[in-house]
Amino acid sequence: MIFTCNTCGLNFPTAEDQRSHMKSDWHRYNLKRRVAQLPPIEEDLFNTKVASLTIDDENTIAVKPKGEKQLTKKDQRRKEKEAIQEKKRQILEVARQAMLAKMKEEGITEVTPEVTDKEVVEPTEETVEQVLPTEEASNSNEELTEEQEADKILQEKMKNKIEITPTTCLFSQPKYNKVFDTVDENIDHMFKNFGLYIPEKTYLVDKEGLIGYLGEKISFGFCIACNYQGRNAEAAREHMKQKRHMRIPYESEDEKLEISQFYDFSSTYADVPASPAAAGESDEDQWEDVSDEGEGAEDDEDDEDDLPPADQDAIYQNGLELVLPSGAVIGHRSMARYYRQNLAPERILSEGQGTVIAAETRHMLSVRDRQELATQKRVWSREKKRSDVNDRRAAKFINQQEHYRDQLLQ
Amino acid sequence: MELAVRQEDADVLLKQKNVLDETVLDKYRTAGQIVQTGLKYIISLINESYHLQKSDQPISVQELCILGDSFLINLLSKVYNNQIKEKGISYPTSIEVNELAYGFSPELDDEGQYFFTAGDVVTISLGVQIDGYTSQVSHTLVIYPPGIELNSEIKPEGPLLGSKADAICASHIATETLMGLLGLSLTPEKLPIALKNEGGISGRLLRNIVDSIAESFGCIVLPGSKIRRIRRFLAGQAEGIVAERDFKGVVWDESHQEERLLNKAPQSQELILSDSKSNIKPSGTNNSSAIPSDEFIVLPGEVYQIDIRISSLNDFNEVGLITLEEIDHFTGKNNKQEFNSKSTIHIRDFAINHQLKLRTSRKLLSEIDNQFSVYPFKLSYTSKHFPIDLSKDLTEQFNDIKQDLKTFKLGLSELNNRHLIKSRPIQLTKFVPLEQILISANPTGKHGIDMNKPVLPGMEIPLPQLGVSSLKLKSLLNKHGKSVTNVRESITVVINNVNNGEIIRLTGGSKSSSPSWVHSQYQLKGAYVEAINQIGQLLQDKRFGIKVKEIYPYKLNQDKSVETSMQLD
Repeated sequence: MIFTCNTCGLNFPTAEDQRSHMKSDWHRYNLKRRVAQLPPIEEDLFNTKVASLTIDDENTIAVKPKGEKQLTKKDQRRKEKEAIQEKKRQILEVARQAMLAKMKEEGITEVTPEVTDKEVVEPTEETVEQVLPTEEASNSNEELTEEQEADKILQEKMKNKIEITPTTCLFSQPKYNKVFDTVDENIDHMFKNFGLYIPEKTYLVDKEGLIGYLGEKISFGFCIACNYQGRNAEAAREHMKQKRHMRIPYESEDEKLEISQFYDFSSTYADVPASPAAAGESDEDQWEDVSDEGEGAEDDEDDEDDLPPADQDAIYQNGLELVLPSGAVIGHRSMARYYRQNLAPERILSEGQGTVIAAETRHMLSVRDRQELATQKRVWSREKKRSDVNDRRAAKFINQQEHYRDQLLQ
Repeated sequence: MELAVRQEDADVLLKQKNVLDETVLDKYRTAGQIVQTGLKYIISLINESYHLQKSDQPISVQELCILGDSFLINLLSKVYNNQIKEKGISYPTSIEVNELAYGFSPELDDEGQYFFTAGDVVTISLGVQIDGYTSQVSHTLVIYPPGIELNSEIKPEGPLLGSKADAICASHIATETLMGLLGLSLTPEKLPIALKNEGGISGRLLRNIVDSIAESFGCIVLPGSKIRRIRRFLAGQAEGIVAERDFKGVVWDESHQEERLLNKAPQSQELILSDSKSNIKPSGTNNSSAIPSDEFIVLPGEVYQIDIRISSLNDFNEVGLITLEEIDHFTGKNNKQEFNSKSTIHIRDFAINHQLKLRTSRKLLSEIDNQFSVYPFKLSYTSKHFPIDLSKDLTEQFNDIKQDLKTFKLGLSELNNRHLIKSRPIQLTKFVPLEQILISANPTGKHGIDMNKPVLPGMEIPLPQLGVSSLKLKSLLNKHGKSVTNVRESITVVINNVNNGEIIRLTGGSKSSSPSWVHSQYQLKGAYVEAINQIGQLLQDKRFGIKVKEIYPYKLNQDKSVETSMQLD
């Protein structure tokens, strides 16, 4: 008699052996595989699999107690974000130092902001490229984290980047070679052929910058209107043509702020003097922009936090109130009940009245505390009630008098 | 209290603004000059009407009051027009005859017409403030039988005699002596030897001297008399309403007469219910600096108001005391066939705030707040026909003001009901025999304060030792009170320490109001006679005595307009 296991394809000399096999994990695993219509595996293979898994388990067990609390999704996201920002900062720091070194070499002491802008952008890209390979080498064995992926994409983008000058048409294929003499001609061309409408043209002060910025965006493979990102500029152009995305979005606050640096609305604030915000914008804003492009649309939520309050000079925020440039104050809705109060105007005393009030020593009756009065009233009503109850109780026993008293004779 | 002033502001208002310097003195002087001119003007009106009888109908008290106020306002409109915010009448022109003591300044629409008769003593009181610096004057003159004018002076046929003359003499001497005493605070080395060891010019000394002068003339110093320091905007205009911080002055009330009477009879100690005045709790305040006390020293650089009212007791054969009775317009009309009038002088109480219902009263209140500030006012001041143009027809303007008074009457009563303004009661001087006080049953003791009676804090109980409350005394007056003539002299003096030290007599004096011709049968006597005589000599001595600078009034023209040229002494 032969004892067999059909699942694992084995023969056993004794029933005992068969039974012990049936109880083993290996058999159970193969049973599950069989259910999943997979072939059984050898015992050796199973053992190695088990061994690798237990190592993993040990690792996780060893790690877990350190964390104490189980990480929530929110915390995880936050940590990831912090890590990304930390990395960004490091990159920026390296880049800045490189730039400073470069500047020192060239002996430039004073630079106009525009010049710095351009000079700033290029070194970053270089440094980013320099920095990234080393990092990648150090942890090549490990899984690629999200940020590294992003960096990798960025790197690829950098490779793919082609230069689109402000005088080049943003949407035409390079083969047509639509390059104009001036930016205005270019804008005119794009308006006529592709319907590119530039919002708030009267307040646009830096046309070249705006077109340059859009060109740069496209050159990295981004669509200017939506979150689409293609492999290269050609893909982005194709996408924009297909979707008719050849427009500058100018609806939401974020969209406006994205291109706000090329505008100057200070002439619309009658009272507030034009601020030098556009010129004096710190380097960091510029840096932010670069990194934003690198990470793309995932970072949209961050933008709200990172962006400086652009309307700081126009509207002054005072707690729950907004002070407009005109001097009017807008209060928050939650305070409506206080704004609706109809208080008597403050009395302005003349000197004589002030003197008499200052010399006054009478003690006046103060307005009674409302709460105190309510308590007092409650006490009074309780006393009244008690006496009423007492009267009623007394009335109950009116007939149980020892000696009869005629009511009429009372 | 709802309103409060920051401590720094209070220091500026109460202390720094009261330091004398040239600008402050100039304001005081100008105010004094206007008051002097106003007094001279009213005296000339009375002279023309009663003594010379130039018009067919004598001028009434109502007309005198409104003419006096208009005259003051016209003069005020010519000075300090752009430099200061507040100026105006600080004491509405009031004219009290004989037993009327206080607050009688009838409006034009008053029911009665008040005229003088020969032998009356008439007290004219008025005051103005410029930027809060106040000058006030009261002067009592005698109405003689119609006489003749000699060298622009009224020449009566003979002097006034009797108890009224005694009171006039006493008040005049008291005022002059007090002025001299205040002046001696600048030069203590000139003090008469009898007063040297009193330790400066103290409140007690002032009181004793005035009491001794009054006593030697058989007179009594009335309740409400005072010698008090005045400060900017604090010239005693709201006494009885505001409990003023740092009150400095001597004040007379019934308790001092009581003390004097009890001292005369040391064997009757069983009458005294409570010995010390210290256990009396002032109802208005708990600030001790607001309670008058004699324990102070007069200092140079202060401004004082000397306000002395005196009545003679020579007409009464029995022992008694003199008190003030408020005329109650309503009960007075029903119960007594005596003199009756409505109170017309009102003052705003700034500590009280209330949202008024009537539009007219709101309008009136805002006008009062803006125009009259902390000083008393009459309803006629709110009329748009006020001040009266003295060069035009008067009767027509009087009628216009009468019409205007009606519009604000209703508002005024609401303000009064809400205690936003307080009306100053008209007071009469009454003599009460001590016997009646002692024999009357007084079961409630001294509890019960008459809130209509304007008194300073700590003086709510008129007879603390006998334990008689003000309400009890009031009830006694109905039956046993006898009217008595009072005489008032009030002047404002500045103890000027700015340059070489002098006393500036802002109001009163021979330049505006020479004393009437009276003759008293009494002479000065008592412990202080020598000292008083020496002070009188010092005041006469131009070279080595007390330097007194009198403020001259403007010159009055024949048609009662004032020469525009400023003429400072």
